[in-house]
Amino acid sequence: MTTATVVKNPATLSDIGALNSAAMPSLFQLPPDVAQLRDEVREFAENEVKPRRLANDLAPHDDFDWEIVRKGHELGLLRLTMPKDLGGRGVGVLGVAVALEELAAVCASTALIFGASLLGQTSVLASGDPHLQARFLPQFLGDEPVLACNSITEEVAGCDLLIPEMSEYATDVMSARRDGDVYVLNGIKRFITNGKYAEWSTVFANLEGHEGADGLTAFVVPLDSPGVTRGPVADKMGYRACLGTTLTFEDVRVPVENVAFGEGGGWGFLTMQSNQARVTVAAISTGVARGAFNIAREWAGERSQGGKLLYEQQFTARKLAEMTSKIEASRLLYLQAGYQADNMLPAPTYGPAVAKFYADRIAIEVAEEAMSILGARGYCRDYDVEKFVRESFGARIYEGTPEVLALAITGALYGRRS
Amino acid sequence: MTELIGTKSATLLQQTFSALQEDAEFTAILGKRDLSLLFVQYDPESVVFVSAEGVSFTVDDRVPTLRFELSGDTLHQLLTGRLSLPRAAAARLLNVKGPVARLRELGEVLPRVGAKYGELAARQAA
Repeated sequence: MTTATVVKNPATLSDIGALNSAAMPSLFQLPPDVAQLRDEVREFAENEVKPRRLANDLAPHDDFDWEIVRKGHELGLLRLTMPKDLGGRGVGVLGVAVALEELAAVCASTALIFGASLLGQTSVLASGDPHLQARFLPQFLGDEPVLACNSITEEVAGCDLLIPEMSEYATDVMSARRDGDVYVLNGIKRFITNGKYAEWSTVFANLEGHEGADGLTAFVVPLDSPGVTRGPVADKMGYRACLGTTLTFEDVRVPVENVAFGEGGGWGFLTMQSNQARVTVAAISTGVARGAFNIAREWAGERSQGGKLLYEQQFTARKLAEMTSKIEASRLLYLQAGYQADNMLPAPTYGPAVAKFYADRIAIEVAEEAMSILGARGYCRDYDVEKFVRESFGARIYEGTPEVLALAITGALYGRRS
Repeated sequence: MTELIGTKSATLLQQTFSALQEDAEFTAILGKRDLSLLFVQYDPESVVFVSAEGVSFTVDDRVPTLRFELSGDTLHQLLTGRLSLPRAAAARLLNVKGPVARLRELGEVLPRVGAKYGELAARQAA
């Protein structure tokens, strides 16, 4: 059989690290610390995550691979956004996004474990509150890995807790009642990534006396507090290595000092957090597309049909060209949005929403084409492509569905949001 | 302090930064961190550009490390400690352009500005 040499890291249009090493000019230049992080995470993903991804995907839905988290912790993935002087790696949204693309190109599920923990930390980091930071950040600097999580979604309220204009329509939202020096939380959060093992969570609850979710407030809640129950773990179609868990809060007493951004400051913070997080989810989707594409590219370079390699067949060549073009465009969108998010406050709505809207869609399209290029093998678990197909649908749900993103995008186009 | 909101607070802001030029530690902090700040205040309108090299009250071609656009009321609340920068940002009471990560460095700067601002305000009120 004739095979083609597959260039391992071709200097593609938007793969900035590859462009640099190939001495090709680029409009963009990753900051040196982000470029270094990218290389380290790429190596970690290849050497540590890739050998375990199939086993983790096939494991029972509530199994959790602490070993991979431990190795990622050694690399600093659980303290990426903590400032360097506090012991973190000190990168911003762009750095997190670049790192998560590298992980997702191998295993989106593993990327989300780290991404969800970083998301949970944002309330404490962005609050600038030295007391909260002293109580809830040092644990990420120890030898053993510690996870955080972010609790928004509820049984009835999903999008109603993502779109500020819909807050008054939210029903049965977790409540917070002031009782002296504490708030008493009651409610149930659903599908909370890392909820099963996180030490603490940023929890969004509505202050008693406010309509819908108009009194949304962010609380930092240790998950060993009396009244917190973890479980069950959702049995998901993809993202099986990270656990999405129900968290039940029954008369959970939270000190007033654990409020981030003040009473009723939840919406302002949540909007800022979502706009930043959408960049990183766009990067995960870009990674999913890239991971699926790499398998297809390799296969099309060694599989011969009708006397020609697949990539030399016009129909397959067209598919590969479309796939790589979509990945390039997706990466450029999230890099630009990430740069914006690191250089303006409030974080922009439009750029991250567009980046995620596009990336989520092309991840599904590219993964599906990759599966078709592999034929029957693409439908089998041990070729990895079907995992990418399943996971391509995941990011379309969290941090804003296409419907939510469309409202954010048109809101910006019509001047209702930035 | 609401009596200061208006034209008087615009003047006070400029007076504050002018006075801080005499504070060697303040300018040393800006110099050490290579930090320049541009405050574009509206309602009432006022502009302050401050760096280790000095202070000016006009917009020119210089690009600050951090550019703040906010109302006089918001700035007043920030400088009097009634509002924190993160809360103001989350509540969309101000716009910041520049590396967001460097906002932490204001922890060393804003208290000095606030102290001088309060001192001058008290003197004017007396």
